[in-house]
Amino acid sequence: MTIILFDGLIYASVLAVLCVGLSLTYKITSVPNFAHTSFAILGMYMALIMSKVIGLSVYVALPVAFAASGALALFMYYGIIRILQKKKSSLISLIIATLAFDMFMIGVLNIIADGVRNTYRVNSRDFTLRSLDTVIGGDGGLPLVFIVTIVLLAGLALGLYFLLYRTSFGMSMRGAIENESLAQTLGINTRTIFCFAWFLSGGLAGMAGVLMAMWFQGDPSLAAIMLPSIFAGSIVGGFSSIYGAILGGLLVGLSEVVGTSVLIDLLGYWVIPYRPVIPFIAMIATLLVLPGGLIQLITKYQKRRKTMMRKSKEEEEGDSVGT
Amino acid sequence: MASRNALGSSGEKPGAERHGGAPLDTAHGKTDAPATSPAAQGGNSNSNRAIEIKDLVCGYGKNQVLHGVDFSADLSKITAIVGSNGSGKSTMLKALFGLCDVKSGSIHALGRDITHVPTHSILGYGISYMAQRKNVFQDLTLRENLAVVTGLRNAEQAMDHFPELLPFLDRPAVTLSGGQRQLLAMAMVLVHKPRIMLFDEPTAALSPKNADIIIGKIKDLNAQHENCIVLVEQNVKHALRNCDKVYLLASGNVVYSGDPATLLDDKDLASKYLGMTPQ
Amino acid sequence: MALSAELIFLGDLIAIFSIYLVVNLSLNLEFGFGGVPNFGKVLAVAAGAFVVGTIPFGVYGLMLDYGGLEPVDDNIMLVHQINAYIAENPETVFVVFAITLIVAVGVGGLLGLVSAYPAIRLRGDYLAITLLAFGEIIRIVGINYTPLVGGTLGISVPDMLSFVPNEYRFLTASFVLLAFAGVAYLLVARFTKSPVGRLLRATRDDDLALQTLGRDPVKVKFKVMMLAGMLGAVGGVMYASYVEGVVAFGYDRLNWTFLPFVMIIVGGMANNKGVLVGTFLFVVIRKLVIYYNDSLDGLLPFDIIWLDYLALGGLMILVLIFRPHGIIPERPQKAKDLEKG
Repeated sequence: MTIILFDGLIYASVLAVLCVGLSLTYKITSVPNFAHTSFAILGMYMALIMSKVIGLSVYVALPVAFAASGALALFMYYGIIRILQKKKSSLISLIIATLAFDMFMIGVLNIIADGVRNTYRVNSRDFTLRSLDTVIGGDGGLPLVFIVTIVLLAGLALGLYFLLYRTSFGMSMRGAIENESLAQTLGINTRTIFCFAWFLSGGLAGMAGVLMAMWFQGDPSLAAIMLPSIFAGSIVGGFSSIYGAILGGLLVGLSEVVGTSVLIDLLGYWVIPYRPVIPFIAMIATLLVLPGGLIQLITKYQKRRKTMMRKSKEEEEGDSVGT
Repeated sequence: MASRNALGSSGEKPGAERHGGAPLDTAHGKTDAPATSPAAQGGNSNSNRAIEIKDLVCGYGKNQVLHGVDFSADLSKITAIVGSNGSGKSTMLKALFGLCDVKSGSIHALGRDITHVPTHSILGYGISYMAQRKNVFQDLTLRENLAVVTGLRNAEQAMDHFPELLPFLDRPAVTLSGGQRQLLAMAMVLVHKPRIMLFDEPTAALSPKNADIIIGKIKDLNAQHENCIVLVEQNVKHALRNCDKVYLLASGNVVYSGDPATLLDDKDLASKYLGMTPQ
Repeated sequence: MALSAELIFLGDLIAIFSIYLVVNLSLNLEFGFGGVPNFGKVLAVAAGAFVVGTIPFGVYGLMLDYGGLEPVDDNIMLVHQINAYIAENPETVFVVFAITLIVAVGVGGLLGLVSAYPAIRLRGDYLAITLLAFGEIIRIVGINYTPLVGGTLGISVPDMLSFVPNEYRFLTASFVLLAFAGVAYLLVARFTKSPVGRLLRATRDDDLALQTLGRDPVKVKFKVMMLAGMLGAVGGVMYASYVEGVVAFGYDRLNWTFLPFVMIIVGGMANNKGVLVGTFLFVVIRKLVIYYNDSLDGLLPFDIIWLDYLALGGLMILVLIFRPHGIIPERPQKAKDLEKG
C-alpha cells in the first residue's frame, strides 16, 4: 500500500510540475507545446549522465537539468515559435512546429541514449536510479526523492505565488500575459519576460525528469507516453491557469496510479496496459463537458462575487470619478 | 509643406495653409528646449518642436492605413487629431509608439529618430501613450497596475495626483468604473513624467461629467509642465474647444491642419468630415 | 529468378508512394480543404490495417477448415495454410478483399464521424489535442489487446497475391497499389473540383460565409471527415496487405500522422497536385536514405534510424519558417467558383 502511495504521490507531483510549465507557456504563447515532455526526458538523461557517467550525486543533476532543459525551451521559443509568430503563422502551423520539434527531440534524445550506452557501457534504456537514492530510516523507510518531489511542488506553488503576486516583475509578467501591447507601451520588455517564462517552464520540466528517473524508469519513449497525461492534467485544471494545472496534474496523476490499482482489484491484471486511457478519458470528458476546466468552476464563483461587488459599489457612488 | 491637402478646394483656405506650413512660433520665446537638439530636423527647425512626422506610410500587415502623412506637434501645446472612424487617427498614435508596421517615412521625437525603436523602449525617449481601450491590466489590482510601472515601493506615490483612486488601491482594475479606469490609465502613463503624451480618445464612452474631469486633468498637465499633448478625439467639439492646433484626417490623409477656429469656420470641411450641419 | 536490387527498390518505391498518396489525399481533404487539423490521422489508417488483420481470417474461416488453428496463436501456420488455399483458388481473393475493403471503409467512415464530433465543437488547439488523443488510443488498444492484431508481436496476414507466380508477385503488388492510388487521386480530384469541394474550402475560410449561402457547415464537416476517414482506412488496408502483416507498434504518430502532414505541407496544402509532388519527393528521399543507410551503419555511435527523426523534424520546421505555402501553393478560390456551386 505504501508503494502505491509513493508511486501515486511522486508521479502526481511530477505531473503537476510538468503541467505548470505547459500551462505557463500556453498562457504566454497560446500554443499547446507538444514537445514539452522532451524537456523532461532531457532532464532524465542529465540525471543518468551526472550519476552513472560522471559519478556525482544524482541530486547534482537537479540544477544541471534545470539549466539544460531551460536552455532547450528557450531555444525552442526564441528560435522557432517566436519567428513563426512574427511571420503571422497560423495556430495550426505553430502546433505542427511543436510536433516537429518533438520529433526532432526524439531523434536527439535517442542519440544521447545510444551514445551513452555505446561510449560508457551504461544501461541507458528503461533505466532507474532508484538504487542511488537515500532512504531515510533504513529499509522500508522514507525515500529522499519522495520528500524532494513534494518539496519541489510545494516550493513551486509558493514560489510562483510570491513571484507573481509579491514582486513587480511578477506583476509585469501577469500584465504582459494579459495584454502584451499595453505592457510594451508602459516600457516593459515583454520579450525578456516571455523568454524567462519559457526558460522556467523548460527548467522545471527538466527537474521533473530527474525525479522521474529516480523513482520510476527513464527512457526516451516516455516523452510520447507522458504527453497525454500532462495535457490531460493541464486541461482538466483549465488550460491557462497555473494553479489549475497543479490541481489537474495531481488529480490525473493520482487517478492514473490509484485508479489503475483499484481497477486491478476489480477487473484483474489485464487492465494495467490500458492505464494511458485514463488521462484521455479525463481530458476528453473535460473538453466536452467543462471546457474551462476545474478552475472555471472556481473563477465562475469569483466572477459572480466580483460583479456583485461592482454593482453594489456603483449603486453607492454612481459612475462618478471624483467626489 | 507640412500639410498635405487631399482636397482640391484646399487652396481656398488661407488659414489652413498658413497653419499647415511651418507654424508661427507662438510660444513666447521659450528657452528651455529639450536636451537633445532638434537641429537635425532640417527645414522645420523649431526649438519647441516635440514630434515631427514626415511622409509616413504605415498600416497592419498588407493593409495600409496611412498614405504619406506629415505631422508635427509642439511643446506646451495641445494638438488634436480628429476625423471619422477609420480615418487613421488612432493609427497615427500607434505608429508613433511602434504598434503598427511603418513602411516608409520618419518619426522624430524631441529631435531623436524613433521610427524603428521597439515599443517598450519608446517610453525612454520621454513619450507616453494611453490607448483607447484596454489601457489598464484588468486582472491586476490598482496597486499592482502602478507597480508594473513604478516598482512596488513607489506605487502609492504615483497616486499623488489622483487622490480619487486611493480608496480602491487593492481592488482589481476590472471592478473600476469607466472614469476611474481612465484615471488609473493616466496615472500609469504619467509616472515617468513624459514630455510628450499621446492620448487616444480618453473620453470615449464616458459620461459628459467624467469626460470633463479627464479633459481638465489633461489641460492641467499641459499648463503645469509645458508638455506636448497629442489628443485623438471622436468628440470634435470637445477637441476643438481644448486644443491649440488641429489635424483633420480622412482616409489616411491629412485634409486640414492648423487653427481649430478656422476649421470650425470652414463650412465645407466641417460638414463634410465632422458631420456638422452647415447653418 | 531473383529480382535485382534496383527492381526491388523501384517496386517498393511505387508501393510506398501509392500508399502514402492515398493517406495524404485523405489528410489533405480534411485538413487542406476542410480545415480540420487531424493530428489523429493514424486512427483511420490503423483501423484499416487492423481490419486486414482480422476480417480475412474470419472470411476464409468460412471457406476452409482451420483444423483448430487460431489466427493469433498459430499465426504463421494458419497464414501458410490460407496462402496455399489462395494459390489454388485465386477467385476467392476478390471476394475476401472486397469484403475486407468494405468493412475497412465502413469502420474508417465511422471513426471519421466520431472525430467530427469534437471537430465541430472545439476550437483549434483543443481540437488538435483531442484528435491526437484519439490516434494514441487505437495504438494502445492494438498493442495491448492481443486477440485483435497479436498485441506487441503483431500478426502476419494472408497474402492476397499468393496465386501470382513468385517472381512477379512483388511487382504485381506495386502496380495494384498504384492503380488504387490512381483511382483515389481521380476521385478526390473530382470531389474537390465539385461544388461540394469548393464549399469545403469556403467552410474552412469562413463559416459565416457559408451560412449566408444557405449551407450547413456542420453537415459539410461531418461529410468530409467521414470521407477522409474512409480514404485513410483504405490506405491502412493497402499498407497492411503490402507488408503482409499488422504490427500495432508500426501505427505511430511519426509515420501515419506527422509524415503525412510534412508531405502535404511541403507539397502545398489544399492542392491535390501539391500532395502528389510532396508525397513523391518525400518517399524518394526517404527511400534513398534507407537504401544507403547500411553504408553508414557502424560509423556512428548510434542507430541511424534516429537521424530520420532529426531530419524530418528539422525539415518540417524549416519549411514552416521559409516556405509555409509549400512547393505548389494553393490557388486562390475565385468568388464565381463558389457561386457556381
